[in-house]
Amino acid sequence: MEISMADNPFLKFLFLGISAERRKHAGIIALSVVIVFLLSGFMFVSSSIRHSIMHTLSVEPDFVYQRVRGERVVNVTDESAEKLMEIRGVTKLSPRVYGRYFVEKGGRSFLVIGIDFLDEQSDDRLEKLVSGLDIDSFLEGGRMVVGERVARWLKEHFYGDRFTFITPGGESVVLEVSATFPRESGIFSDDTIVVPIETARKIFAIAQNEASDYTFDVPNDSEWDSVRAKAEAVDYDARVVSRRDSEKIYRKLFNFKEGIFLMLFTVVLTAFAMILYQRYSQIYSSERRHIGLLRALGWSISDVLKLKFMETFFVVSVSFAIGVGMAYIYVFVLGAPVLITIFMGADNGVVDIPLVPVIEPFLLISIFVLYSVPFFASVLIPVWKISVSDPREAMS
Amino acid sequence: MERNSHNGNIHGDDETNERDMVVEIENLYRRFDDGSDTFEALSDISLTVARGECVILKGVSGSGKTTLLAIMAGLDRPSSGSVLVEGRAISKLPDRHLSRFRGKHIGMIFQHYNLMEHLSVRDNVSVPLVPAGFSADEIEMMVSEAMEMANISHKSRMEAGRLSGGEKQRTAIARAIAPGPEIVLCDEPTANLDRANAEIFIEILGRLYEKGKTIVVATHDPIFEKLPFPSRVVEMSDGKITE
Repeated sequence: MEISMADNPFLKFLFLGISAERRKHAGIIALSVVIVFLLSGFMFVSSSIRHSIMHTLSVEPDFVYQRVRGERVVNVTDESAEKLMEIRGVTKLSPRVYGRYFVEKGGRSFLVIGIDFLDEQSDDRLEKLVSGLDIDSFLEGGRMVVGERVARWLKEHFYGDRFTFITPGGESVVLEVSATFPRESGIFSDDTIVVPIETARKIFAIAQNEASDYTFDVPNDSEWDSVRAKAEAVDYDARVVSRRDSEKIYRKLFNFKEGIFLMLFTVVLTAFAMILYQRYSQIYSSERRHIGLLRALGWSISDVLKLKFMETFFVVSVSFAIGVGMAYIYVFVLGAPVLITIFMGADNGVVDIPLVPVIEPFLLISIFVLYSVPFFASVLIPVWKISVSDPREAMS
Repeated sequence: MERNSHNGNIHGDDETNERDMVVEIENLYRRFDDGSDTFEALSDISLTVARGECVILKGVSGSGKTTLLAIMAGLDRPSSGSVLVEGRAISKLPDRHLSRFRGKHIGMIFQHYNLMEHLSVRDNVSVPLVPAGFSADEIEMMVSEAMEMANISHKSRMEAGRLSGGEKQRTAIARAIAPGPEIVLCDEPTANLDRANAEIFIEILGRLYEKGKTIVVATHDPIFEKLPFPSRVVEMSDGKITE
C-alpha cells in the first residue's frame, strides 16, 4: 500500500514547516551547497586523476631500465640490452625512443615516444590503450597515435590530422594521426605522440644501436627484487624503475595533496559547524518558543528531535544533491577550471587534463558523512538542550 | 460529558471533596535557584479542582499564577509537594508519557496565542494531534469540529499571521480543544484582547464549560469576576493562595 505524504500527518507537518520557513532554510542550504560543492569537487578531481593514473599504470611494463649520468638520462646501448636479456626472469624486453619535440621555438612541446612494434607486447599495450587501433595499418608507416591535446592543437594549427616533423639533419617527416588516446589515460598521454621506433629515431637522430630506455616484464612477482638488483648491476649508472615505484610515488604525492586539502576542509567544516552550532544554540527566541510550544502541545522530546532530525535530513540531502550535482558539472563537464591548476600545479604545463567521470559509492558516502555528521550534531545538540531544559518557554 | 444544568458557584471545600477531582495539589513549593539566590515562586500551595469546574486563579503579575499553571500542565516540576492530574502524579512521569498525557488530557491557551504564524488556521489547530498517532482523516475531523466550536471555521485556510487578535485567540482555543482534553488551562487569555473579543472568548469558554470541560484560568482581568457560568475564584499573592 502506498502511503502518500498527505496520509502521514508527521510528514505533512514536516514539509509544511519547511515550506513555510523556506527563506531560513534557503540560507543554510546555500551555504551547505558551497561546502559540499568544494568538498566533492576536490574529491572528484582527486579520484578521477587517481583512476587515470592507475588505469595507465596498469598497462605499463613492469620495469624501465635507464642510464643516468650527471642527473641526465642518456641513451642505452644494445650491449646493456643483451645483458638484461641474460637475467633469468626477464621477458618482453623492448627498446623505447622518446624525447620532447618543440613545435614552437622555446614554447609548446610534445612528448614523442617511439615503440618497437615488432615486439608483440608493445602491440598489446598500445591496443589495450587505444581500443580499435588497427596496428597493421599503423605499421605501414607515416602514422601516429596522439593525445587529446595534441589532436586539438593539430586541428587548430594545421587544419587536419597531419604534421611535418623536421629532423636535426633538416629532413621532413610527415605523419598522419591514426588514433587518439582515450580520456582515461589523458593524464599521461594528453601531450604524447606515439610513433614507430624507427620514425622516432629519425626525428631525434638516435643511432640504430641505441634507445632512450628499455622496458621489460618479470611475470613472477617473487623475482622482482632479485631481478631488479641484477638489472641495477648491468651498468654502473643504471637506474631501474618499477611500476610499483611509480604507483608509490603517485600515491604518496596524492596522499600528500589530499592530506593538505582535507586539512583545509576540516578547517572549513569546523567553521561551518561552529556557525551552525552558534546559530542553533543561540536559537533565536522564535525558535525557542517554537520548540517550547510543541512541548506544551504534547510533543515529547523525542517527537521534537525526530522533527528536527528529519528537517535537518531534508536540508542536508537537498544541499548534498545540489552540491554534488554542481561539482559533477564543474569537474567533468567544465574540466574543473582553477581547481585542477591548484591540484596539479600551474607550472606543470598539463593543466587541461581530461577528467574522466569516476563516481565511487564509497567516495559519495565519505563526502556525505564528512559533511552531514557535523551538520546534524550542530543542529540537534542545541535543539535537544532546549527541548530538555525549557518546556516552559511557550508560556514566557 | 455534557453538563445538564448550572450548579451555581462552587466555593466550599466539603462540596468539592465529594466530587471527582481532576487536579489535586498538596503542599506544593516551587523554588528557583540561580546559584547565589533562591526565589520561592510558589509556597505551600494546596488546591483541588473538580471535574467540570471552572477555577479562576486571580492575582497580580508575579503572584505565581503562571508557574502554578505550568506545573498543572506538566511543563514545570515542583520543588516539593504533590501534584495529581486525573489521578496521576504528573511530575513523576517520564517525558514521553508526560507529553502524551498532556497532549491527550490538557489543552493550553496562552496569552500571546503562540500560533505558528506561517501556517494556516487549520494546520495550527492540527499541531497537537500530529504526534498523537491519529490518522489524517481523524485529524481532519477533529480539527473541523474544534474550529466549529471556536467559531473560526470560516478562516480555516488563512495564514495565522494575517488574523486579528480575536481570531488568533479563537484559533488558539480550537487548537487547545482539538484533541478533546478534559482540562483546559488558560494563561492570561484576554490580556491582548479588546473588550468585544474578550467577551467572545468568555462566550466560547462558556460553551466548553457546558460541554463539561474542567477549566483553569490564570488572569488579572476583572472581566472574569462576573462570568455567565459558575466559577470559583482563587486569589494568589506572592506565590501563596490567599483566598
